Amino acid sequence: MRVAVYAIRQGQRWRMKISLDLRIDIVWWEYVSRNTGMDGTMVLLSGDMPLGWACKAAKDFVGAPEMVHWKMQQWKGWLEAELREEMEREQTDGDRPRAEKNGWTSVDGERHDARTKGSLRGMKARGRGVWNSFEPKDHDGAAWGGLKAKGYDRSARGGFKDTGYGGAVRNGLNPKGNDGSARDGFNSMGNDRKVGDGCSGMWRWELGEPLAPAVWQELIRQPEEGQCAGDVRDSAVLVELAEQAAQLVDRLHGRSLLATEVDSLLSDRAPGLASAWHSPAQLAYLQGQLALDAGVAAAGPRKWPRGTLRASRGQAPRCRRCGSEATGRTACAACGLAACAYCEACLALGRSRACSLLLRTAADPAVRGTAGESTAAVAGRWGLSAAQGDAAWAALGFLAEPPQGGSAAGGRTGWMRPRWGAARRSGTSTAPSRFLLWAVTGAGKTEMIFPLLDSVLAVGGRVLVATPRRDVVLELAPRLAKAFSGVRIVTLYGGSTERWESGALTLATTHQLMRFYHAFDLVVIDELDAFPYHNDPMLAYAAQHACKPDGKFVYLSATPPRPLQREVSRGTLPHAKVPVRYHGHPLPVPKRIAMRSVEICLRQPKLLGPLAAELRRSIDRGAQIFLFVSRIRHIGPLVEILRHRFKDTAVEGTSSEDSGRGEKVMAFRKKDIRLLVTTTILERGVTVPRSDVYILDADSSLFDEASLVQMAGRAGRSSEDPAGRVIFASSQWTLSQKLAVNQIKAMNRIAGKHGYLKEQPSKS
Amino acid sequence: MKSSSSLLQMMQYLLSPPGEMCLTCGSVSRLVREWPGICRSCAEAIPWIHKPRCLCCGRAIGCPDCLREEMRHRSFVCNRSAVQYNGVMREWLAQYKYRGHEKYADLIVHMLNQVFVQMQEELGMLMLGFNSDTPNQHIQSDASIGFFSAVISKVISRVDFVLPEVPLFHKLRETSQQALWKPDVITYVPVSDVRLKERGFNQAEVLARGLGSKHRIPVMPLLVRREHTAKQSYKSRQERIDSMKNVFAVHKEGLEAALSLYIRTYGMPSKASHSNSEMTRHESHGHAITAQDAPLPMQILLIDDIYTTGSTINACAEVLRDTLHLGLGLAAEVYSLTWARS
Repeated sequence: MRVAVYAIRQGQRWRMKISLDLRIDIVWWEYVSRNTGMDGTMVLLSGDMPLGWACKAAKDFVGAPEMVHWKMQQWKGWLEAELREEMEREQTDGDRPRAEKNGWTSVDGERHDARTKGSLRGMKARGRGVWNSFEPKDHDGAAWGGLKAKGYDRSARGGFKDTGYGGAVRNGLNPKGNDGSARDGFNSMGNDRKVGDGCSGMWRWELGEPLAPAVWQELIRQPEEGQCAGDVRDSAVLVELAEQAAQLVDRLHGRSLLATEVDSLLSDRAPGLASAWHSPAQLAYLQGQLALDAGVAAAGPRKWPRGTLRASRGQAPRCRRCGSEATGRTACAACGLAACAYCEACLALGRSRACSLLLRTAADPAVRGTAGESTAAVAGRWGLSAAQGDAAWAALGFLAEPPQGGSAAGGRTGWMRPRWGAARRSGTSTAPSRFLLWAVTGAGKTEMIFPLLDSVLAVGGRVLVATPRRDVVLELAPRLAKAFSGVRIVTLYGGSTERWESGALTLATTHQLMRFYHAFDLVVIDELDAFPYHNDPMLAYAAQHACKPDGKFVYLSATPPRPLQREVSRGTLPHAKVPVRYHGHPLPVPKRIAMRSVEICLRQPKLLGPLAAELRRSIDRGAQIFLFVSRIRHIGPLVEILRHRFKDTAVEGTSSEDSGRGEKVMAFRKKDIRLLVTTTILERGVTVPRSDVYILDADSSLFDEASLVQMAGRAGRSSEDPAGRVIFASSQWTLSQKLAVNQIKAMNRIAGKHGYLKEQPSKS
Repeated sequence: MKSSSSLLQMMQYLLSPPGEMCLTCGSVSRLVREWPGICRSCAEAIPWIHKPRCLCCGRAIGCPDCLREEMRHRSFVCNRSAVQYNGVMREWLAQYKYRGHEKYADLIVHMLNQVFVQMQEELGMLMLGFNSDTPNQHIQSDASIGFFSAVISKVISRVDFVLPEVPLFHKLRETSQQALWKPDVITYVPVSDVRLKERGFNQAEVLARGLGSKHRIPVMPLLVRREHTAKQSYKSRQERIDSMKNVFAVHKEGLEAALSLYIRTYGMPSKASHSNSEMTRHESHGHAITAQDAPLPMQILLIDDIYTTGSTINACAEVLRDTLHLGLGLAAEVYSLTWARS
């Protein structure tokens, strides 16, 4: 979209503002100057500029007292200097396709292409209301085409003049042609008068003085799309606008939404506001309650080469919503630029681009949870085990800490360390404090977060529980609803009907986090190491933005990623370990059997001997068997061989490519299937009582420490059969296996030391 | 945090076999050369329409729609499509059109180019056939006139209304020595201003411009889409049909440019219109053009992303044909090229 941009002086202070509806600004500043008694000046720099440019100009603006004496020419010069890089890029990108076409032999093609581009622009411009009545179409067209004089020269020779497009030719031959195209970017509405001082479309108004004709015209013009239809000079209209602004701010509280999403939210939740929210939004922006920004932040200033390659490259534009680098640039009909940047990383939530409006609300300070009285009290109230109670109590203590007191704020390394200074640039200087709940598989993590949620909800805070998978959201929702019966719970996932609702407790899949901005006092992130969080800086960015700057993060994981583990051992990350399962038995320690790789074994089934012997023992003891392989293609042949060998046993295989996966897992739970050959898709979240785990090719690079621990965690989860068997079958003893076994043993050791265990772990 | 793990990752990256991320499936592998940005398995899964079964709408399977009575009065000559609109293609188009993943544009333009070349050959063959032994468009079944003509005449003998009274291939153009058909101008199905602002681009226009620049054929906007004030769902059937009729209007400047190009290539359609002012007001002065020497029809290639029932294409073609005919007495042949045929 395109917006207006102006400079405003109050007393000595200059600021730069963007505007969705300039009428509101005029009325607002007049009102402010009258009430405060301060003199002021309003200088309109452009009434119609691509949003990305306007935001950049407003962001980089530094006021100076001498600006009071600036002539319009100087303002214009400042704006051009500020946007020089953008305009240069517009030139080069506009020329690039042209350079291709210059190779054409056909003059016709070139000429008409230029011409039609022009009229396309002309067509678009016509939709913009009164401004365009004094807009010579041909000039606009020539400018849009970004034509070189040379190109037009040729087309003129080609007989263009005969067909009556003198205007285009004249413009093309104009030596200032390029200049014009650049200026067109931010002042298309005043092109007719640009011959004079080049400052048409700009005006200056001393607040308190009678309105100049240009300002007056601005005030009484027809409202554009999305703007309030009433006469804004009428006080009744203003009162209504103020009410609407308050309502809008309320609706957008803690949100980070693109204009299209706001449309959707309002038509769903507040239909009265949906058609004309630009004017109330502008009012809220002036009141300081709403931040208006471009979806993709403009490229940073090009630094002068300092010897390193990186510095001389300049910074790429960045998506404000997801923090990714916005790599795409295309011609855009909404802002009229030939190279409008857009973000390819978060397209799934609607396209964020340099000219799409991103609305965010200002955050309230975070509330702090109350510390638990004692471990026993916490455990007793929530029905937790001793180990769970201790950890929950430690976490409650963390929640009650003042914001930056925790050593975690601004931790040196780790998952939430803002990369590339993205957080700094977007204005969040302090990172929320973090706490890691490191709970072994089957420890009962979900129950442990209940006291945490309660402590923040009790003081009126907002809480987010984010999990990587949709089915976890759907499974968790009823449990939370039961535990927090009086609390409004919103569940968000792709296609959720509660998309625009807001509640004290939000349960969401990871991508939904991008729609929030400084909304939550506590963010709980489940299965931090699982896909899609793992190694995705976009989701880390989104999670960080969803949390208030002085809010708190609690991570839940059975297998934290290495950087976090390092922070734990270094002591820079506050954490609590839950080293034992809820039933109080130690984790089964994996046992290794040496075996050739599955690839070879499939060719020579004899080699499966040692595995078969172990499997027989498991079958005989009546266990359900998970058999993990590294490759989907191994599943079929392996199932055949095992069926042949264990004729009395139901053997099945499933993978991500299997549409009947759900039924097979159900059958496995019901013991209709005894042996299930599968891949890492079942490494998490599946609980089958009395199960043994076999991991073939445990030395495969596809199995890292975390997934080995997770797979091993499928065994012995029920209290009836706490000692499941875990077998690593591999030809080599790799680091991942060693680390996984060490981690499991270490947890058992800690559990023993704290006296959580009902029995001592067996040495293996 | 320049730790060993990131160093290892870097080394692994450097040592791993070359590959890029496939645009459509996201897997990292060696990309194919023929199509930009996609991997071998995605390229092989494209459901090309190599030989359209229905010569009217370019469908790969037999087409009952084109046997209907109203199709006999359609305003376009024929449609050709690159691919069948299956689930995968639907996803690609959704990614491009609705999500705005504009990296797809290049891929889709390339695909459209493929079918355009195919169309050129097909129509070129037909032109040759007509020109060599049937100057007055009387189709005979003759083995010498080429495969396509033979097929066409066979089809026509069976269902004689498949290729109806649309003036077809009036002549072999002097400009094209080789038997390749080439339209005078490419245009595209427009979207409304509101939609254009919302989406930021018109996919049909991007396709048309890509194709035009590959073949050096001028691309012009000849149509505009009027805004919808009321929602379609509140209208009765007849109102909807009427509104569809009035959705499109000519784009004046574009049409003028196309006409001026036509005139420069083939000369004035008649002696009556040599001045520019009359050209620009062709509606009022239209009948000044006499049919002394019947002007060559203007061949327009209309581009869209998808052909479903053909009603959009037909509505566009009707507007173009009627405007040119009523206004200027100039015949127009509208050919349609779409990326997908559902």
